[in-house]
Amino acid sequence: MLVTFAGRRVLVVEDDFLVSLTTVDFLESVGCEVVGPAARLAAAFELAQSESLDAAVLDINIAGDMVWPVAEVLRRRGVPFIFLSAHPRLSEIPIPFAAVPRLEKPLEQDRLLRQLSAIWDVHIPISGRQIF
Amino acid sequence: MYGSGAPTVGVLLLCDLAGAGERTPLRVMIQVAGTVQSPENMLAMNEALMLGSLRQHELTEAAELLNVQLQREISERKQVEAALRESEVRYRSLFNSIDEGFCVIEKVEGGVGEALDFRYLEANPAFATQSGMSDMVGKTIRQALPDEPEGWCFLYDTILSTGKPIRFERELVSHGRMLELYAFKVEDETHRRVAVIFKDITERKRIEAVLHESEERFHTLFELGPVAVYYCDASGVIQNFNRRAAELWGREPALGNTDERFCGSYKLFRPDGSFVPHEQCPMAEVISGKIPEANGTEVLIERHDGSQVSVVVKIRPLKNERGEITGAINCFYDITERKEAEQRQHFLMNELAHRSKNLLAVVASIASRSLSGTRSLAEAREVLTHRIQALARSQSALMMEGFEGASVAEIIRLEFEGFSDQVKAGGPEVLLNSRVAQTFALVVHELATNATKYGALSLPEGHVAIHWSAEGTRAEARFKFQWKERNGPPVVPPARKGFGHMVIERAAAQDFGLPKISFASEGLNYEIDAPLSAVAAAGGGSSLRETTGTTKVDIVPNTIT
Repeated sequence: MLVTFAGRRVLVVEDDFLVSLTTVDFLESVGCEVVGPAARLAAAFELAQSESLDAAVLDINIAGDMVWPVAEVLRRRGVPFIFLSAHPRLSEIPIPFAAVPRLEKPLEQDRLLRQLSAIWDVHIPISGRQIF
Repeated sequence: MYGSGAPTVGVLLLCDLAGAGERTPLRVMIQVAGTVQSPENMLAMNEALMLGSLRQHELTEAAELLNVQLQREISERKQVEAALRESEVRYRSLFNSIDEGFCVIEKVEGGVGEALDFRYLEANPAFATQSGMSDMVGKTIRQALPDEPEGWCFLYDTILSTGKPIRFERELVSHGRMLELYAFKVEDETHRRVAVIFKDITERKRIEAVLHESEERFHTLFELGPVAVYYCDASGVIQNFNRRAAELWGREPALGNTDERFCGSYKLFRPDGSFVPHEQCPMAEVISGKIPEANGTEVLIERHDGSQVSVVVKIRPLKNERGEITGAINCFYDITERKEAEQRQHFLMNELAHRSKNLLAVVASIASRSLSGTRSLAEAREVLTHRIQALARSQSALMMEGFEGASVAEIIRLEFEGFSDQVKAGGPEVLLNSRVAQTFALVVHELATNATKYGALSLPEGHVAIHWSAEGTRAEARFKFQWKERNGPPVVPPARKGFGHMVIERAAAQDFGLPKISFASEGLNYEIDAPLSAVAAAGGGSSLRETTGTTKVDIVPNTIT
C-alpha cells in the first residue's frame, strides 16, 4: 500500500546534487512537495525563513558551513526537522539539537519514512519494501 | 763561714742558686736549693755536706733534705722514664700498625758540589707495602732509587729550610706508583730530619680517571642527547638541565633558584587544556612520593610568547642508600609532530568516511535514476554500469594525486581511451577538488555518451574539441572548460531531459555555476566558467605545466580544431 503525505512541504538541504536526488525522489514518491534542494547555507537559510514548511531534512555540513543557523530558524518556527549526514557525531552537535533524530547517509528510505510518520503522527503500515 | 779555706765550686754554686750571700746559714741555703732540682744542685748540696763543721742535727737535717730531694728526683726521673717508655710503646705500636707508610730520613752532609741526598733512618712495615721498596733503612735515596727522577731530595730539603710541612702527590716512577705524601720537619737538635707519611694512591687515581671519563661521557650525553633532561633535588630545586630542555621550555631557569621549582617551563597545562601549577606537576608528584614514577605522561608546555609544545615526560626518583628520595630526574621529548600527525590522520579518516559515504549515496542516486524510466532492463543495466565506471574513474584520478585532487587531463584521458583522433583535448595541469572532480567526471561521461549515441562521435567524420584553461590572478582566476562537437548528425535538442541532462546541467551548476549549453546546428557546445578557487584542489589547483600524453587521446597543448 502506497503511503502518501500529500501536500506536505519538506525543505531539503544538501550540498551535493547527486546525493540529494535520492532524498528528493523518495519524498516526491510519497507525495511530499520538495522545497529546494538548497545547496548552500545562504539559500537554505532564506528558504527556512520564508517558505511554508511541514518538515525539513538537513545535511549537517553544507560545503564547509554548518547547518546550525538553519536549524535554529526552523526550531523557532516550530518546524520539525531531522539530520541526514555522512558522519553524525553527537559530540559535534550543539546541545539544543542533541535530541534531533539523526540519519546516516546513504539514505535508508524506511528510516526516513518512520521518522516522518513519527513527526506528523501518521500511522503507516510498512508492508514490503518500496523501491524507487 | 764554712770552715777554712776558700769556698769550693759547689758551695759557690749553692750560694749562687740560693741567691744568698756567704753568711746565709747552710740550712737555709740547702732548703732553698732543695726546691730547685737539678744535677748541679745535687752536686752543690753534696759539697755543702762535705764541708764538715756542720753540727749533728744540721747534718741530719741536711741529709734528710738531700734524701727527700734525691727521692723526689729519682721518682720523677722514674716517672719521666716511664712516660717516655709508654710514649715509645705507643709510638712503636702506631708505627707498626698504621696502613700508611712512615719513615724518617736524615739529610746527608755532603761536600759542596755533591748532590743532595737523604738517608733512611727508620721505616715502618707499611713502608714496603705502600712504596714497593724494602730494606731501605741505612740506604740513601740516591742509593736505593738511582733511576728515580730528580726532585725528591729538593722537596725534602725545602722542608728543612722552611720548616713548613708539605702535602703533595708524586709519582714514584721507578716503581710505577702514584703516592700521596705528607712530609714535615722533625723538631730535634739535628735539624736535619724529615718525617714522611705516605700512601699508594695508584688505584685511587685509576678509579678517579675512570670516574672522570664516565662523568665526561655522561655530561656529553646529557648535553648532546636529543632528549630534554633535567633533575631536581628533594625540595624540587632544579639542579641541572640540558640544552634541549631549555629549547623546549623556551627559557633557561636559574639553577638553584628556590622560586623555580619542579619545572623550568613558563606555564604548564594538561592535554585537555587545564592549567597545572608547577607544584602539582608530575615532577612534583614523583618527588613528594605521591606517584612512584611517571611514564609517558603528556603535558603541554607554554612559552612566554604563547607558543605551545606537547611533550611526553618520563620521571624517575633518585634515592640514597637508605631508600629516601633525594630528588628526581625527568626526560621529556617533543611529540608535537606526532600529535599533528595524529590529528591529520584523524582528519583523513573523517574525510575518508565522508567520501565513501558520499560515493555510496551518489551511486544510490545514479542507480535509482538509471533504472527508472522507459528503458529496457538491459539498456538500463548498461547505462548504470557505465555511469558507475565513470565514477570509479574519477576515484582513480583522485588516487593518482594522493586524494588531494584529480587532474582534469587524467579524467578526460580515462574517459576517452580508445577514441583515436576523433577527440582532441588540451589544457594546463589543473587539479580539481575531490567533490567537484566527481561531478566533472560524470559530466564528461554524459557528454561523451551523448556524443557517441547521438552526436559527433556517432559518425566517423565527426569530432570533439575539448579545451580548458586556468587564467587570471588570485581571486579573479577562472577555470574554463569547453566542449565543441563538429561534423556530427544534425543536432536536435532533446525532448525530455533525462538523468544525463540533469547531470550536465544541474549537477554541474552546483559545482561550476550554470553551464552554457547550446545546441548549435554545427554541433553541441558546452561551456563551464567557474572561479578557480571554488573548484581547485586545496594544494594549489593549477601549475601551468603542460601535459604531454602518450595515450590515444591527443592531449595537445592549447589546440582547438
